[in-house]
Amino acid sequence: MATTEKSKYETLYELAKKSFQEVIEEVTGDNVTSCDPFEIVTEKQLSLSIIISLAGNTNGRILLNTTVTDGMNIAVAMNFGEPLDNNEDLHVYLAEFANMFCGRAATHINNEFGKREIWISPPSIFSAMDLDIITPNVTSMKAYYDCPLGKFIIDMGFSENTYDEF
Amino acid sequence: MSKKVLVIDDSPFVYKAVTKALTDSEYEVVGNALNGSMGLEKYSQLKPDVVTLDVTMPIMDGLETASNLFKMNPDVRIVMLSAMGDETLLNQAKEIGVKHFLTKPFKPDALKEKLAVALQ
Repeated sequence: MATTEKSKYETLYELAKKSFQEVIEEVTGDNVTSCDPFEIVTEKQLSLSIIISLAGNTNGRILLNTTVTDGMNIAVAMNFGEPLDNNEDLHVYLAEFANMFCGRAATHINNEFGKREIWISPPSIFSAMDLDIITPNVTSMKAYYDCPLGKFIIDMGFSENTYDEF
Repeated sequence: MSKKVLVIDDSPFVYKAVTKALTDSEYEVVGNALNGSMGLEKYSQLKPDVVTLDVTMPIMDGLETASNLFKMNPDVRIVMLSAMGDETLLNQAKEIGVKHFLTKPFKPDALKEKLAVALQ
């Protein structure tokens, strides 16, 4: 188990990355690995951010940043490759994708630490033409994925819980 | 005759995905409930052969729901279908009596296989 705060966060970061890669692979059959940093260009299309809060010994949040177009690719893959019945379902599918990804991350993290280190909240989804989400007071680490489904940035922010009950 | 499945999960996606996965199979999804409390009511009304049950839900979570389902029917067949699957959670579920688990995302064949085992 990690002994310093920095190495603990690196462990959380690696487990979250592993979880994203596993869930993408299970949904699409594609192996994905992280790549060099890039920016998501959202010219003439909505950018999309899915946020899941983390609570427990470690607080924080995981952001999944992409575009509506690439988010739709995930939703179609989750729908066993078939188009969605209606566009309103996009958010329902993406919320569940984020739940599966972060639930997997919580599973790996809790098993690694041998206790309930974190718990996840229901996801929130933001979409806008020009979206910038800032979370002060967290140690943030990003992983970049450019894969057949599209481009995705996983932004993980962690901080220690200061409450005694955890 | 097809086996009746009740889906208890706060995500509407899961109801759609389970229904789609079980299309043209020996299983029929007869209803869904968005929380455990609603799930107990639907279980009484619909009398399904097997229940798929999420863990993290509002009002009544999956562990409490499973416990109540076993009180209603000690022979209830439950497949816990969750994004979470850490050892602490699995042990809690096993203590309650849940024997079958499937982690999301799931493949249609994996779900059918798990339901078949639960119904044995």
